[in-house]
Amino acid sequence: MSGRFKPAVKTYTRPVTGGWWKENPFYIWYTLRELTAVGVFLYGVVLVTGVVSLGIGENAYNAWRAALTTWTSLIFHLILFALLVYHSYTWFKVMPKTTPQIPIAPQTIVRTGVAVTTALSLVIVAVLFGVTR
Amino acid sequence: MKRANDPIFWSSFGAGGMLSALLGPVLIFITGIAVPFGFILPKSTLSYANALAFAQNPIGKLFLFAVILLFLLHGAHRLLHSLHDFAIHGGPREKLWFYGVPLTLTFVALVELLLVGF
Repeated sequence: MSGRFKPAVKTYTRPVTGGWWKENPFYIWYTLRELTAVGVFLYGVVLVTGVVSLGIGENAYNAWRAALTTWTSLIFHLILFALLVYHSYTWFKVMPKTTPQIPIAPQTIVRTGVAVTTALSLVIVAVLFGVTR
Repeated sequence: MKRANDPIFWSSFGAGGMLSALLGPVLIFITGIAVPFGFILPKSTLSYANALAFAQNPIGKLFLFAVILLFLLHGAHRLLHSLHDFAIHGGPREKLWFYGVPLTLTFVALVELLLVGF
């Protein structure tokens, strides 16, 4: 254990078990929010495998593409998508608490963040739709 | 006092969190849901020729590198700090793994991105 959270004086430390977060809905949502990091990390890994297969050659890259057309991959990506949407929403929801004091209402920051993400996503899909037609 | 490397990882956590909040859902939708099944976007969007052209373009290359580096570091950093919540108190060994794995994977991707040419 690192000494970082150890108090200097010998005070009573309440024992903490790994299952505390199941006790309250608020903690469950908090834990889900932190676990969206698994989704962000795994999508990074998906991209690494794609880039590596692209570097190896056409056959390897087409095998990577084929793997993405399976049901397992679709379900996996739907879960990743849901996790990233929740990450995106909570990222902007927490933002008013993490930024320095600025004269903007917290709800405005959250709404702007969600609006910008939605608009940007639609524009990217629309542009891709346009250039691939 | 020993120089801390924490600021580097906290800022990459912030940058990765922001980038993945803005682009994560749409990127997953495009590469994992829409294109592989020809839903809204054609399957040929991610053909070998298109993907290669994207990876050879300097901006495309930089984009892929930035997304991979920041997504991996954000995810790993956040998980490292969440271990504490599950009564696992991370020390130097955990740090080595939680920063070593994302940096190694990014390095592999960077090498491939440079090898596909410009």
